[in-house]
Amino acid sequence: MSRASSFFRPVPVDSPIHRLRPETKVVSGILVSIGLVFNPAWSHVGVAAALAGAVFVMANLPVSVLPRLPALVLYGLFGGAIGAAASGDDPTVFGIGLGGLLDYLRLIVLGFVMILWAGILSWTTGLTAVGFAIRRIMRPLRHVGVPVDEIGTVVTLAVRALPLVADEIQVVNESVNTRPPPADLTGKPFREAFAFIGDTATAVVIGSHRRARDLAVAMVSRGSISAPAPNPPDFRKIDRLVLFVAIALCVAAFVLPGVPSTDPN
Amino acid sequence: MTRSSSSAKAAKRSDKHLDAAEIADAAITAALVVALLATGRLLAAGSIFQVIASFVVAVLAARRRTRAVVIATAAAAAIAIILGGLGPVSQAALAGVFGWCGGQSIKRGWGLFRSIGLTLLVGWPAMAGSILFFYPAIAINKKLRTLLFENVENQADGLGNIVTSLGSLFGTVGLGFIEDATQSVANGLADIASFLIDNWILLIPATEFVYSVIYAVVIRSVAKGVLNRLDRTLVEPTFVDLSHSDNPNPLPVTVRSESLHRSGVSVTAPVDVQIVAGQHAIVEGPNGAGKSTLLDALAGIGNADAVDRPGAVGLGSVGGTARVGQRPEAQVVGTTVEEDLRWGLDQEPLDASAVLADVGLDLPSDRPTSELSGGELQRLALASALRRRPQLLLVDEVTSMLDPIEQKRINTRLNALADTAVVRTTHRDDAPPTDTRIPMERFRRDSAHHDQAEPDDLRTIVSSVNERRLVRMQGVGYTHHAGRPWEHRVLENLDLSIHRYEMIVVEGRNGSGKTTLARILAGSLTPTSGEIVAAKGLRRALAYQHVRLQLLRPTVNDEIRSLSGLPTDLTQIDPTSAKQATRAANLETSVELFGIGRLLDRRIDELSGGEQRRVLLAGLVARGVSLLVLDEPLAGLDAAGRSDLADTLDQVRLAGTSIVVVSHDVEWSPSHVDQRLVLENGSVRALP
Repeated sequence: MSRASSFFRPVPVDSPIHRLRPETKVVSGILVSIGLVFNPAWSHVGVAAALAGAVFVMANLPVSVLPRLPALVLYGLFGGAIGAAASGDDPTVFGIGLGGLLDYLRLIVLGFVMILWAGILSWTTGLTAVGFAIRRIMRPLRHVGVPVDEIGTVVTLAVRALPLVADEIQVVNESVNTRPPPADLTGKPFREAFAFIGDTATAVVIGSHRRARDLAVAMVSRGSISAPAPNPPDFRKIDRLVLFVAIALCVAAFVLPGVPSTDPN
Repeated sequence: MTRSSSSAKAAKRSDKHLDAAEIADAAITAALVVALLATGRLLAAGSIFQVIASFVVAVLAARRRTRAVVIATAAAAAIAIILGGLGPVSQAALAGVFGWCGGQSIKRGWGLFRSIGLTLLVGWPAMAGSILFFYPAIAINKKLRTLLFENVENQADGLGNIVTSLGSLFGTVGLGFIEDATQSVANGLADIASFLIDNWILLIPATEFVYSVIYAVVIRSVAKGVLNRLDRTLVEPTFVDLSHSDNPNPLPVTVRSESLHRSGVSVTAPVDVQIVAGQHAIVEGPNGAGKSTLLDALAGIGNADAVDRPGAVGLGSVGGTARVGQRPEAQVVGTTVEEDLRWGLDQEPLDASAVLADVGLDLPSDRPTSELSGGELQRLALASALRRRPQLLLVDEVTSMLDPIEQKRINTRLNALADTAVVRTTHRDDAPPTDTRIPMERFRRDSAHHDQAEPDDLRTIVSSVNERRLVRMQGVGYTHHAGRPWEHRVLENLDLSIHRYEMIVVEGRNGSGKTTLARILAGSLTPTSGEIVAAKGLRRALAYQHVRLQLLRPTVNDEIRSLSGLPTDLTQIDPTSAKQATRAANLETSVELFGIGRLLDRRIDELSGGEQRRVLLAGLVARGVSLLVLDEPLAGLDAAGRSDLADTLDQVRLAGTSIVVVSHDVEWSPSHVDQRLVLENGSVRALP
C-alpha cells in the first residue's frame, strides 16, 4: 500500500461525525473555508480552529492520524516565525514586539485549519463515499447544462482507479530510483533530474493508459458507459443542523468585521 | 441492419458525448492528477508535481477532444477537495488549463512560439486572474491581502532587525563599516518589501507570466516524447456499438479466420470455431496462443470481420452476451459492491446478498471494491455476468485467484448453466468430459526458442562483492503506517541469511508480507525493527510482478544500455573510459547469456512478458547485481512460461547472482533450489 493512498483511507471507528452524510461534511467544509479566506480576523480564525478541534475530538480520531510534516517544512515554518518575531511590531510584551509573530501565526493557523477540515472529511468518510457525495452535490447543475452524468461517471471511475494508480506510481518511482543514473548524464545534476522526471512520467502515463484501455473494455462488457445514478441522500435532522451552522458561520464571516478588526485604516 | 429512429437519435447524441475510450482516458487522467497532487502534498514538493500533473492532462488533450479534458479536469478538481480544501482544487484546475494548452499545440503541430503564445493567451490569465479562489480573494478582498502583505513586511523588517543587531555588535568592537553595511542591507530589504507590496497588482501577473512560459516549455518537451511512444504502444480496441443491444441474438456464432488480430498484429493460427445455444466449450492452449483474443472476438470486441452471428451481440445486456476478462482488478468498474452490480443494469431490481451468495460471496453491499481481494473481485465480476442471464457467457481464467475449494464451487455453478452457452479458457485440465474442446496452438511471429549460448562458453560476470554472505537479517520486523491508526504489522522477528550463488524460494499466502519482505531484501524498504546487514559493495535489485512498469526506454537496446549504466546515445561513448569498457564487456556477456541478441532492435512493447523479464534481468545482471529478488514471477504463467522462467533463472545463477523468488504458488519447483522457506505469521521457517 503506497503512502499516498493513506490520504484516502477512513479511520475505522464510529462517531457522530462518521455518521453524518458525506455531502454535509463536504459542503460545510467548503463554506467554512470560504468564510475564512474572505475574512481572516483572529476571532474568525479562532472560532474555525476551535470548531475544527471540537469536531476532531467528536470524531473519535486518535492524534496519531495527523501526518508528520517533513523536516524541511518544519524548518521553514520555524525560520518564518523567527523572522516575524524579530520585526518587533506592537503589541509589545517584555520588550519584545509580538505583533509580527501574531500575524504570522494567524496565517499559519488559517492554512492548518483548512487542511484539518479536509483531513477530518477524509478520515471519517473515505474516498468512495466522498465520490458519491460529489456526484449528488453536482446533480442540480444538470439543469444549467453541465454534463453531470459524464462528470459523475468519470469521478466514479477515477475513484475506482485511484488506489491502483497510486500503487503504480510507487512501483515506477522505486524502479527509477534504483536504476543507475544514465552514464552520459552523471555529473550533470540538472539534466539528470530532468531525465528522471521524464522517465518517471513516461512510465506512469503509459502504464496508466494501458489501465484505461482495460477500464474501457470492462465498461463495454457491462453494456453501459455511464455509472448508475447515486442513491438519493438520506438527510437527517443533524445534517440539516450542521449545514445551517456552516451557512451561518460563512455569512457571519462576511457580515461581522471580527476582533480585532482587520479592516485596514 | 436497420436503425430505429431512437437509436439514430442515440447515435447523434453519442457524437457529442464521450465514448468508452474517452471516458476511460478522462477517468485515468483525473485519478493520476489527484494521485500526483497527493504525492506532492506529502513530499511538500507541490509545484514539481503540479507540472507533472499538467503534463498528464496535456497527453489527454493531445489525443482526445476538449470535452474529455474539461470533464476530466472537473472531476479531478472535485475529488481534490479531499486533499485539503481549496488549494488542491485550484491546482487541479490549473493543471487542466495548462495541460489543455500544451496538448492543443502538440495536436496542431505548432512550434514552440505559438505554443507559448496559446499558454499566455489562456493559461496566464487563468493563473493570474482566476485561480479558482485565491487570487480573486486577494484582488477583491482587502482583508486577506492586508494579512498577507503585513506578513511580507514583517519578514523583511524582522530579517533587517536581525542583520542590524548583528551589525551593531561589530560596531561596538570598532568595525563601524560592517555596521553601516548591515544597516543598508536592512533598508534594502524594507525597500524591496514595500516595492513588492506597492506594486502587487502588476507583480503577481508578471510572476505568473514567467511561470506560464516555463510551464509551456516543460510540458511541451516532455509530453511530445511520451506521445510518440504512446501512439506506437497503444492501439485502440474496436468496440461493439452499444446502441444496438436492444434485441440481442448472438447465437449461433462462428469465428473463422486465417489469423485473428490484436492491436493490428496477427496473434493466432487459423481459427474455425462455432458455438451454438447451450453448448459448453473450453478453449485450451499455452500462453500467447490467442485464447483471450478469441474470447473477445466472440464478445464483439475486435476482429469483427472474422465473426458471423445472426443478430446483435448484446454485450452486457440481459439475455445477450456476458464477458469476464482475465485480470481481476480490471473487471470491476464500480467503487462499491452495490454500484458494480448495478452498473449497466440500473433498471433491474437488485437483491445484492442473493446475487453474491450465488458465487459464494458474503459482502456488505457498501464495501469499497478497492478493499476486495483478487478472488473476491473475480467472483463479483462473475456475479454481474450471471445476473444478466446471458445466452452466451465468456469467461477468461476466472478462477485463477481462487483456492481449490472455491474453484470447484464456481466450476460446478458454471457447469450447471443448461440454457447458456459457456466458453471458458483454461490452462488447467479441470473441465467435464462433456465439454467441447477448442485447442489453440502456440503462435509466434518468430522462433520460440532462444538462441542461448551453451553454459561452457560463458564467463561469469565479475561481482563487486568479496564476502560469502550477501545479506543477514536478524529479528527484522516491518509495520506499515507505524504509529498511525492504520498501523499493520506484517513481519516480525524474522531471521534470514542469503549467501552467494544461492537460490531461495519463499512461499506465502496472500497478505503474508511477501512483497514487503521482497522490498526489504532488495533494499528499497527499511525495516521498522531489527537489523539487516548487506555485504560491502552489494548491488541488489527487485523485479516486480509486472515487469513492464520497470522498463523505461522504447527499445531493448536502449533499455539494457540504460540499466547497465552505459550511454544510450552512441556518440557519448568515451573510448578511453575503463569503466565504460568493463560495463560494455559485461553487457555483451549478459546479452549472450540470456539469448536476447536477436531482440536488440525490437521495441519493448512488442515483446512477450517472458521476453520483457529476460531483458530486465539481462540489464540488471550486466550492471553487476549480485542479489536479485523476484516478486510473484509466476502469476499468469502456463507450463511453458514456467519452464522458460526456470531457464532464465538458471542463466542468472550462471552469472554468479543469488536469487530469491517470492511467490504464493506452492507447486512450482525449479531445478536447483538451495532453500525453500515458508512465510507465515510474519516470520520464515524452512520447509522439510
